[in-house]
Amino acid sequence: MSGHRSLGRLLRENAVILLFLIITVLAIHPSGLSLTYIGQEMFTRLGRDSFLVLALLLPIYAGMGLNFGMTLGAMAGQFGLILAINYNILGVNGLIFAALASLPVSLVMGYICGVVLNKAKGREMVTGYILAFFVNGIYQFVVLYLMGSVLPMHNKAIILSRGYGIRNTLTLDNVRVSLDTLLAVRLGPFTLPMATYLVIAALCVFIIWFKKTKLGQDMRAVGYDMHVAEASGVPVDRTRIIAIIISTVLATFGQIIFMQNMGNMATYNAHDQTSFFAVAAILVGGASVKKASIANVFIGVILLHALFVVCPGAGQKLFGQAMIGEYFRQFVGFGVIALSLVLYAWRARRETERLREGLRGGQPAVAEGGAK
Amino acid sequence: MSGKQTDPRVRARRRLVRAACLVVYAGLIALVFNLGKGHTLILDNKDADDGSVKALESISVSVDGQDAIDLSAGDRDQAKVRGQGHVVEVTIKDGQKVTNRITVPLNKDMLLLSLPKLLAGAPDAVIPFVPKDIVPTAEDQQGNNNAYTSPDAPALPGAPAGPVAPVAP
Repeated sequence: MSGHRSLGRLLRENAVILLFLIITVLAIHPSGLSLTYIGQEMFTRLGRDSFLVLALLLPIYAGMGLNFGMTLGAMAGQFGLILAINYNILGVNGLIFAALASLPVSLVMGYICGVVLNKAKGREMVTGYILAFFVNGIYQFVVLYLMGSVLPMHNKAIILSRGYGIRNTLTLDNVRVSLDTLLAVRLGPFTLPMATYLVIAALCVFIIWFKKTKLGQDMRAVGYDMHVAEASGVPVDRTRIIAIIISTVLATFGQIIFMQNMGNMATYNAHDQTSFFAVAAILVGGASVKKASIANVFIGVILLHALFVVCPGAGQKLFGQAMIGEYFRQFVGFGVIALSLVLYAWRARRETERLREGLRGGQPAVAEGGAK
Repeated sequence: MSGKQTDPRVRARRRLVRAACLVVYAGLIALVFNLGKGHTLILDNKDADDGSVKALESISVSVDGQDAIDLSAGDRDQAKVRGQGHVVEVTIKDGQKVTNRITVPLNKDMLLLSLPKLLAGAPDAVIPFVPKDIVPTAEDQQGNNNAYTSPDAPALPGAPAGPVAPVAP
């Protein structure tokens, strides 16, 4: 009986992962893609996306839910990349320049985001999502009107023909796959971007170390219960702001890594879905609004991208249109976020019921709360 | 928290650390800019305008160990380089190799390297190169429309007059 119960619990807890795994495995054959191709795509996409998804961890530890405000960091990263292209800085130096140039912007953005989210405690996710729309307007204003007029831009190739504003699409020839090819290692049929992996590994080490620091412990205390943390002398608001600042800065670097891998940049909407896909990935990996780990990041990136790779091919084969696979991506992305949030709310309600039962004389249980 | 008085020495040390961080940050940006700045080097094998040097009949040029480029008299080609200091290796027809070091100005994107002048040891072998204004082709104009702007947005004074791409409906 208890075996059945634990199996049921295991299935419930990993419902999203299992669902993705089943759909992906079923879609591999109709997609017509070889396992070697899918494997190579996974290695490439793991390098492309993992940094961005890892940027979501600290706000989750701090109890702020999934940081949809990471889009602000992505915009800052794109701002840095535009400057690197403008000044014609090549290769990895271009990436470092972009990261350094965007650092002050992302720090300010992170601070603003943190302050705003502190005013909206308990509703951080939706606030972050809307805040990203607001800051998007400012970004568009800066890039479309100020660059080339107020901010001097000397690279005419990236300026609109009217004399100011940046073109809709920028080719990042200067920095294209510069990090990926810096230390590319050939392993059988696969090429591994080891330099990118090392950067990601360094971030993982940083996160593990950070969790053990005083600030990291404070963050977890705040994430567990803000009121208890406040009563224990933890500066809750400051800790939450720091979590968001770090997340925003990491998102900035993540977007730069992402863009160098893609090789071109849609100036006005490349950042639109950054948080959306990062959040979808970490949720697919088995994380929740309240709980996440480094393992969730990698499982999520692999599963989500495996589905993305096989979907267009499967859509073409099954329905005669590759676009159906493309629509399926969007459907799956939004669907998984919705499913995860619903499952999370359902679990939280069950926990609350258990807590009530405990108060009535049964076994007490700890209820989960979280950002909306 | 506001009532707490911080030790003046701690405050001074804090300021010092912050100033040091700023200096390191600025230094890093300058270093990365200097090391990563890209330049296009136009390799020119033509007679000098003043007739001081003549084009070489057939040479092979390699910049910073890149693949060698063969140039006949009157030819031009280009090499993309990074940073300010570069090594130019010229192989002349009879197999004789001449290696020269050149320094390019940081703020110039495009430079003309006159190979005959370089081999003659002339000081003006590297000069800034300003390409003539070229009317952009339709391909160049891709991604250059006003889809995200007001269609009647005025051009800035002094902006290059290029063909205006069709406005999205």
